[in-house]
Amino acid sequence: MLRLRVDRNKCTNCRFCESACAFTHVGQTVLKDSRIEVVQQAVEDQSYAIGVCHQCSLCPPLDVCPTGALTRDPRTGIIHLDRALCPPGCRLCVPACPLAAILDGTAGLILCDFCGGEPECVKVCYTEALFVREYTLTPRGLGKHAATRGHRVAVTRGNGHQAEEPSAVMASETPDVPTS
Amino acid sequence: MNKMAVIDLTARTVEVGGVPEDLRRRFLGGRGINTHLLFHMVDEWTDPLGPENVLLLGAGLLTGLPWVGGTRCNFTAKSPETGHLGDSAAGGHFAAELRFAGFDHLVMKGRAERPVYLWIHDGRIEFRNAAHLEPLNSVETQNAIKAELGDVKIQVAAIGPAGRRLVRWACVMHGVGDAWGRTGMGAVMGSKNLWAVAVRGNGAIPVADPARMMEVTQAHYAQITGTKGFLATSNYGTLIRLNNTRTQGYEGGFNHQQNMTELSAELDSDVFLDKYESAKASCFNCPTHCRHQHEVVLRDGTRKRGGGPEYYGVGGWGSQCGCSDWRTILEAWDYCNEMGLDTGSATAYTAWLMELYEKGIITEADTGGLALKWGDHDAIMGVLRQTVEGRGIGALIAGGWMAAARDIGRGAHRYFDHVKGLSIECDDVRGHRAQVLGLATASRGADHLRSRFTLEEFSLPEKVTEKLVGVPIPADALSYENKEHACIWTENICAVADALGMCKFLTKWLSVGLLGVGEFRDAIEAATGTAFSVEELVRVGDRVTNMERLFLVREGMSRKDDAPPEKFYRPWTHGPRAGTRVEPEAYEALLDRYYAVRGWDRKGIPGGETLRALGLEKEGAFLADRREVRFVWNDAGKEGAVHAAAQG
Repeated sequence: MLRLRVDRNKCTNCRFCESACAFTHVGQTVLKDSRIEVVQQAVEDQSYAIGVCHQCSLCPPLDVCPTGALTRDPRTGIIHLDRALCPPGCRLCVPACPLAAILDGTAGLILCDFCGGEPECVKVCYTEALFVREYTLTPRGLGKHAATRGHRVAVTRGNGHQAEEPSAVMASETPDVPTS
Repeated sequence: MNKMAVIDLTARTVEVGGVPEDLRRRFLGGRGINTHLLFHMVDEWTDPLGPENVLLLGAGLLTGLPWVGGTRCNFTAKSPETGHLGDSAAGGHFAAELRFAGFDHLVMKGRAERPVYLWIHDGRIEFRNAAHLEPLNSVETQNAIKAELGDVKIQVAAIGPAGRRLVRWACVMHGVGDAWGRTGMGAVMGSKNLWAVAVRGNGAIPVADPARMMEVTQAHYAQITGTKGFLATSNYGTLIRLNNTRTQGYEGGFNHQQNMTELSAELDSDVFLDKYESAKASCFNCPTHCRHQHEVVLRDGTRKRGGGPEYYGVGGWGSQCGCSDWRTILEAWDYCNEMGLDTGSATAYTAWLMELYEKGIITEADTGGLALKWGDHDAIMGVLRQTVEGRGIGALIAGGWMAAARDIGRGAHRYFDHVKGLSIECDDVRGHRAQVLGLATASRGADHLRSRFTLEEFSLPEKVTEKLVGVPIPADALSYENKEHACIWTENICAVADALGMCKFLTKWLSVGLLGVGEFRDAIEAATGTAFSVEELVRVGDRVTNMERLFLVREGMSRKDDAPPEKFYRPWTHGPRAGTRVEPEAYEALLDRYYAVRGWDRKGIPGGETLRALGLEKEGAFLADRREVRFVWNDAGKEGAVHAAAQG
């Protein structure tokens, strides 16, 4: 099962992912309609918060959604947001997502739809801060890294980290769920 | 469609209108339209620091689109440092956000009564009080404005304490390391009591053909990331030049007295990457993450993080000021960025003062007690601190080098290397003839981003350059043959790139495999729906260059100002190519050929035929009763123009 993964340490804040996402989805560069968000808090910050859906195996927003506007496709594992089913002003899912992946678009809440398996943001991310990885679901539902897919070898340096083939254990990778 | 706003700071009024279609067609945007506006809005009598000067902000035509590297915008005004054309571009995220906020071009006139900053968001422009920003440096100012307006995605262009105190070579800062640095745009902003411009917007930039735009973007992305040089530029950034110049003998040493120095090998870009680099940063929509971020423990033990450095600062404080300690260089670099000083001028001024001190032209009595020994940490930081605080030697150079040279006297001006009043960069290009010509004819003064034929350094085969330029350029850098064509080709491609908001690191300016005018045409067509031919685009570059030339001629410039610095006529002292110098006769012949190809007369004045072909005859009308104007600096430190001999 393919998942979108993020390595924050490699992000250089070019926001090409935002442009590509917005342009793919609405045909314009309205970055508010981007399903991924890169935020630099203070101007001197050297690392950036990246808000995008990781298709986590344990998804708190799925649990809190009162109407079934959020659903998971059992075949692909991708979480879908059907805005038509959102109760007006609900927004329960927004704070529930630990990855800040449910964003405010021009016309309401928006969520990464994984572009049908080939995310545009990944195509333009040269430093491989964004990448697609294959995971298999274990019976307990926790994601387990199985194989690398579509991964180019970056010869260039990322953010102070020598880029290399991802090892089996990604220490810098954002975990699937908060540990508690 | 995006707008142009005329902001009158005196009257606190804003006029908003569309960008005229014929200007778009003739000048595209960015530097192109800015040059047109500047020519018509100021004249030779305008005081750069007076309310009558205009500050123009122009985003490139393709800035903010989902295209590769359209990141830049230009600040343009009459320069307080050089007294003529002032223009500077910077990348980062500001330009794109300005366009998302609904504006392509801002014209800022007059002078605000009290310090203000502009808050531009979703088509609205607000004047806001800035008095509380007084104690803050440029980085703190940006954070304070973000916090005040309650949005972390706001992008700010702000001046620092140097700009507020009207240091004539102050810059405008964005982020920690992006600066509209050269020609003193920060001082113009400070003179208008405009301390910052904050932008944020969610507007759309219309794209004529989204599907085609996507195709073009993918093709250009692949083209850029597929070049051989891409990994080097994204790894080393501009510091790549540090090693080239150091090993091949064209680094400027000790204020261009030497072309190679015996400084330690510490001054190497790999040393920086290993010891001090903490991250990399990109500009908006650019895969070339060339901007370094550093973390350094300074000499006093404090830990400091910042953006940069770039080659200009490292070469400048390094070989030029004789300092091989990265901690000093990074401290000076960060200090300049925070205070809003142009690192290009800061390094040139420091190196100049150090040579004057070495020669005994200035002493501790002039320098406020500083012993300006080569490479000395306290000397380098002392000059910068005194400049910002307005005391000692700093009070002297804050008014620009010309005023300082006049006040020092004793022939001090002879030791300052400049073209048209702007300091030359820290490398020494006298062994590259097209680059010498480019440096000497660059419109805003000595400059590598207007007309430096960078490809000359790669000794490309003639058949490659013939395909690019149209005429074969000799692979030998020392040859003068056909170099005028190389210079003109670069000038045009740079002018078009600036008008599009394109970074030159992604263009043929840097490498043959990168984007050229043909690729620009595809992107413009997909984005705007306007069809340009390659020849038309080149003519836009021609038009911008000629417009700038007309501006300079009106300021009193001519052939005499198209000369390389005097030191270039002396031989190189060190290295594999010692003895190389610019031969005056050969250079003058090259300049003649350059003028001829450009369609200018022997004095460098654009001819009527050339102007007619470019549609600039109205602007050129003043040439009929042109007078040669010479700048003098009066006692108050303000420049005035004096008419000298009338010319035919």
